[in-house]
Amino acid sequence: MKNLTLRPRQIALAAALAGAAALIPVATIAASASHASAVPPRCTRSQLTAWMAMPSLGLAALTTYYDLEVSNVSRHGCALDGFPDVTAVSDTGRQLGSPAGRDANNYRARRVVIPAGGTAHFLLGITGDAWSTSACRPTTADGLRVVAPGTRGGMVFPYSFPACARRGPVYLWATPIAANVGIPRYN
Amino acid sequence: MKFTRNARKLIAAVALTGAAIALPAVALAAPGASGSAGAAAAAARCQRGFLTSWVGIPGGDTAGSTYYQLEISNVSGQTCTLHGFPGVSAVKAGGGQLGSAASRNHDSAELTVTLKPYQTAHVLLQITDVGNFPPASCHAATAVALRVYAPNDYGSMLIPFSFRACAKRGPIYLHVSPTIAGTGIPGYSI
Repeated sequence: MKNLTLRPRQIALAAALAGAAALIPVATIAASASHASAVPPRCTRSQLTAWMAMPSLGLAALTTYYDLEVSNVSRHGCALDGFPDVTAVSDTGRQLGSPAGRDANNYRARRVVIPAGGTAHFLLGITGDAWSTSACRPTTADGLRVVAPGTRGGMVFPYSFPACARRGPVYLWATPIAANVGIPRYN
Repeated sequence: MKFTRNARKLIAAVALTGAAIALPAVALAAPGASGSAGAAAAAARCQRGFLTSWVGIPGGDTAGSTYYQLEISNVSGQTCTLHGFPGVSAVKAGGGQLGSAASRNHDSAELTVTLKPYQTAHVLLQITDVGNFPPASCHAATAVALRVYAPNDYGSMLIPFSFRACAKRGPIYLHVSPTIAGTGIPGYSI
């Protein structure tokens, strides 16, 4: 069970800066040395399938966590970099309320290469406390739209859950895409 | 939503799996065997506490049905085995079952699947469009989850998933394959 606490922006910024600094020499070396080896292109939606696991209760009250996976069903490796865009949608596909907030507490956003037939993952938290606020205008979502970083359109999990019709309250939280399957303790 | 892309791949994957030779694994998989006598101790049957389960999208559309992959992962630290069909049914808000449980599609062989820690197996789930049934015999309703029992297990797992189901028992609108080794990634299923 991962502890997906919602973290101050300062920590995220610091982590992002640290990550960027650490990556600079690597990127430089890679750029100078890798003309021969092909760099996998960014994944497109048609290369991907997505998985959603049974939920697990979070340590934080009123939050339910879900492991989600993204698998590369194409014959070529491809890359995802950063956060998925996750939104609640109505039965007509209309966005409900604010999109998922970004949580990089457990994972730093980094480029993840998914080999052909391979899988990456991220965590999604759905909080119930925003739902009780007047700014929320509670409603029921009919789906969860997941747009992998750099892709368009996304995929909709047919999943019914409490959502906010009004933008403002953030009740969904997503981590960046991380390498490997989303099996707890394995990755 | 459009779920057309993977239908062909899914069917191909199932066909390939179904073509696998039916090894005499059924005879070896004696229910309840403790494994104390063999040269290598038989792994225990996977039970709910060992497992997590997944549903994949997009599904694959065919005429009158949509196919989805369900995955079952061993999240315990011990090797365990799955053999045969999972139990699958539709769940309404509040937790009750909607209509009849899934029937068993015998096109694929029933093989014992051994899951080392953190390995994954899969099954193919076919959901028939309940609009194909006479309304009076179906009483169409919206399911909010799939209840999945690992083969021969009595503890269930709930995967959040909304779809049209029959509230009335009788019409068979869910169909499952036996448990198949490997992940359910279309085109890469073993």
